[in-house]
Order: sequence, then structure tokens, then C-alpha cells
Amino acid sequence: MPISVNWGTVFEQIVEWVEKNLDVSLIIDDEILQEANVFTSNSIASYKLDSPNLAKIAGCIAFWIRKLKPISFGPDKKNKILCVNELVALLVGLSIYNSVKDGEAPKGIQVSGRVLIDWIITLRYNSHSPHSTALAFELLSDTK
Amino acid sequence: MARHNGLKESDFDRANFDRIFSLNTGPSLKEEDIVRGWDSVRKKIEELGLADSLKKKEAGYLTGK
Repeated sequence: MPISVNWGTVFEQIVEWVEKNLDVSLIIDDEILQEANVFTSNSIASYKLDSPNLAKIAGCIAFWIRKLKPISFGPDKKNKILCVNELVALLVGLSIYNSVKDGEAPKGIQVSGRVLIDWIITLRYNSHSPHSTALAFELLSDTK
Repeated sequence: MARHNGLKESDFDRANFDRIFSLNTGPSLKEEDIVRGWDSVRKKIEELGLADSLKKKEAGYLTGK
């Protein structure tokens, strides 16, 4: 029986972390977030799997946030980070991929700072799909 | 704090916002599971100094200062 995955809270927490740590003012467009959620559902459904793994869910969500760009800059501060939607997309994806059930130890992400930066930049400037983004998350851990 | 649709918090319909996120998937994944995932990811990116790296202009950061 499918269940509802509520990723809104962590999305807000990540946006707040970005505002604080990168000294920017951000505005979230809820209509675009809703659109991202619908397109994510469609992408996940395209796998035709009863129980897609977390990497697939993480990849599809990250792709659609990156594609539809629900975050813009507010007037409060002049600073900008051009890749803010791609940054938030990747952090939401990593948080879902790295989800920890009660009592379990986190998987942890084994990735260097350089690769994270490259990943953010390529999400902004190069071609990707929901499935290619999901595959990138699969490669984070599955080496068997 | 980030503003939703540019609205003040008092004008923001939080219940409606929460309804947006109704993603039907197979795995059992609770909101608190994802938040714990973010806690783990946040520690890692702070350890890696990701924010400082992104502030470099060549990584797409523009400062208004």
C-alpha cells in the first residue's frame, strides 16, 4: 500500500539553512512546488515498480526541483547564489536518500566537496533527466 | 525565514502548503525519517565547507556587497 511522503518540512529547513549560511533572502513559490510534486509522482510511476528505492525517489524529486525552480530571491538582501535551486534540489535529494528510520544508523554520504560542487553546477548547466539523476543517487552507495 | 509566495507568515496558508506534499510511493518514509536524513547531510556538508565553496564567484555566487 503506497504511503504519502511529506518532503515539505525538510524542503523548508534546507531553504532556511541556505539563507543563513549563504546570506541570501529567498522566496518559495508554492504553486511551482506543487507542480514539482506532481511531476515527481509521474516520474516515479514511470518505473512501474511497487516499491521504488530511495535513490529513485531522491533523484526524481531533485530533478524536478532543479527543472522547475521554485525558489527566487527576495528583496531583503542583494546577495545571490545563481545555483540556489540546484543546491536545494541536491540537498533535498540527499536527505531523502539518506533518510533514517527510527533506531537505525544513517547511511552517511561518501562524497567529496569537489564532487558535490560539480554535481550542483552540472544540474544547472547540463542536460539531465529524472532517471539519470536517480541513477546518480543509486551510484552513491550501490557498488555490488 | 524564507517567505512563501512573498507572503508574510501570518498570511501564509500552512495547511494548504502541507497538502501539496502528497507523494505516493512504495517505501515507508515518514517526515521525521527525512528530517533525520537532513540532519546527517547537514553535518556532512558543514564538515566539507560547502557554503564557503559556493560563495566563490566561479561557483555561481554573486555578492551585492
